[in-house]
Amino acid sequence: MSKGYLLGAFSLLALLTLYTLPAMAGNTATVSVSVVAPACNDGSDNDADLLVDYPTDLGCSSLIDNDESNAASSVECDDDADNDADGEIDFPADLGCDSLTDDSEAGEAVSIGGGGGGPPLARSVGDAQVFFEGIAPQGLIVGVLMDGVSAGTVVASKDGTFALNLSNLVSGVYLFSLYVMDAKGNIYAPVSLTVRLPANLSVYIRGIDLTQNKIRRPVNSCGKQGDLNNDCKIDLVDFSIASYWWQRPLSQEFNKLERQSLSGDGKVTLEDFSILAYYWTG
Amino acid sequence: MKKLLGTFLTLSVVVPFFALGASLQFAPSTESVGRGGNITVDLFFDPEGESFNAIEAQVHFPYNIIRGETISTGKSIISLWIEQPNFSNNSQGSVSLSGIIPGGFEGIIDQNGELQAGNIATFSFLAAHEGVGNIEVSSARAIKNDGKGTVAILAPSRVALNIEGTSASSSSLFFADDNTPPEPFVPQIVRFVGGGDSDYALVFHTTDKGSGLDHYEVKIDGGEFRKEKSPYILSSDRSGSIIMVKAVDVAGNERIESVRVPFFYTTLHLFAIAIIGVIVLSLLLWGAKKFFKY
Repeated sequence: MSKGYLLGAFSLLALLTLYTLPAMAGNTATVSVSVVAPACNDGSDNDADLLVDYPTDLGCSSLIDNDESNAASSVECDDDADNDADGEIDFPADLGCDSLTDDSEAGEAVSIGGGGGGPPLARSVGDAQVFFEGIAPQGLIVGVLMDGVSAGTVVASKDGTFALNLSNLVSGVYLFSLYVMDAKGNIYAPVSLTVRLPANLSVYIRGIDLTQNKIRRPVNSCGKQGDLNNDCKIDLVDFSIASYWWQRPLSQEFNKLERQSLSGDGKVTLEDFSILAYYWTG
Repeated sequence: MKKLLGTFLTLSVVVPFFALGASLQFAPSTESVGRGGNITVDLFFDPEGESFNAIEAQVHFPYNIIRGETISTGKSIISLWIEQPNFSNNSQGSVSLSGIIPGGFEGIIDQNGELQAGNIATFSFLAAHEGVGNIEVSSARAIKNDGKGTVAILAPSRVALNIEGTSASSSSLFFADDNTPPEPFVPQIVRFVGGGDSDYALVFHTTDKGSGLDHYEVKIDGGEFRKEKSPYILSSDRSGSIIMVKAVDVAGNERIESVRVPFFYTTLHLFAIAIIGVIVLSLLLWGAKKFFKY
């Protein structure tokens, strides 16, 4: 083969590689997004009572209710009652419910707002909801950050899958970061997904793979990697501390911190905020 | 032939970096309105499939022909603003913005699995005088989500403006239908590490998915609400105070949250406690000595 053909083949390969790489990069390759109308907003008489959707069908509590049926149920996660007094009713809104047949709304495996520590997430009252489904190492905690704030956790089941739902959200664009935390407290690199949640519809994000990522925040990394207040978390407090020093000369004390936890260039720049965002725990 | 191949090889390596690089893009790219009309442009960030977690940009507009009115960040992909864009520098015709996306942004995933560009901010201008000019990003960079601070210079973008002499009515379109206040939030009193005038600060943050957050106001005890930013550094004499934080969106909807400041132990307090301790201990020892003497 002549040198010319070899060069041509190489250049073609380089071209293909460089054009393909960005599309393959990241961790969203296995993820699929679908938007579906819940049973109470799908224009169908799902429970054959001749009444269709919310508010006509009294079995519907809202447009995002996925059950038109109003038959009395003795199962806690399908009885239209807030059995554990957490402000959420039944599956899927109450994250203590694994399914409509779960007889306990109490969420020993699931919590809202406590995952990454910090103050509890104040809940919005909106008409959008999102469901996450994927795989994660069995028995490990799967957490989700919503726009950088802890929004809930669930324990991956024995078959290595997890399902998590956030409801009553205001419609709009959200950044969700799903991560795994092991028994020692090591936090693994997240899968970050930005999606648009429309009003009165359910968004399902499936195929999230949390089994491949490596440890990002080892349990012994307190005071490093952006942890400016040494509380072992990277959150709004660290962001606020860094923001204070943005475009200001650093104090001697903070200069030491900047060298220890940020880029170490003696000033607070966008690069330092990028480090915070990379190690963010919420 | 060799020359041709060489050129192709060089282009194949170089072109993708320009063609596929992350960019900021205005939409629409041209706008033609009459005097008195409104111009609304969206600034989008297209990461081209790579993950970025911090962005900063400087937007310039021809202040001799248009006037900045409102900037909405309700649809923005930026979760936390270091510098939220506003028109406070209207007379200079420039707007600075910078913010972060914890976890990184690769694009908005749509139902087809495609990654779409994300909105950074929506700018609304009033066409004040006849003329032509450009709204443009003069400098912009984004940082890759790699933990190393790798910088990417963003490709520039512009909107070509043509303000015609004919009069147009102002539609004043911005968010008349937004009646939703900003999201609930929890103001926190935190130890403020790293110096400054105090050891404590008030930090707060919320979002608004409608018109977008405009500003915060802080009120301490019986005082007045004053425009402030997070972090709000607290003086040590604020122990026990009730602080109210008001978040106001672009449409004017408000949400107020409050927090009570705990008692601060300053160096002076600790010194006073130590002195009192020493006195009490001395008295006790003196008393005990006297007691056992008799």
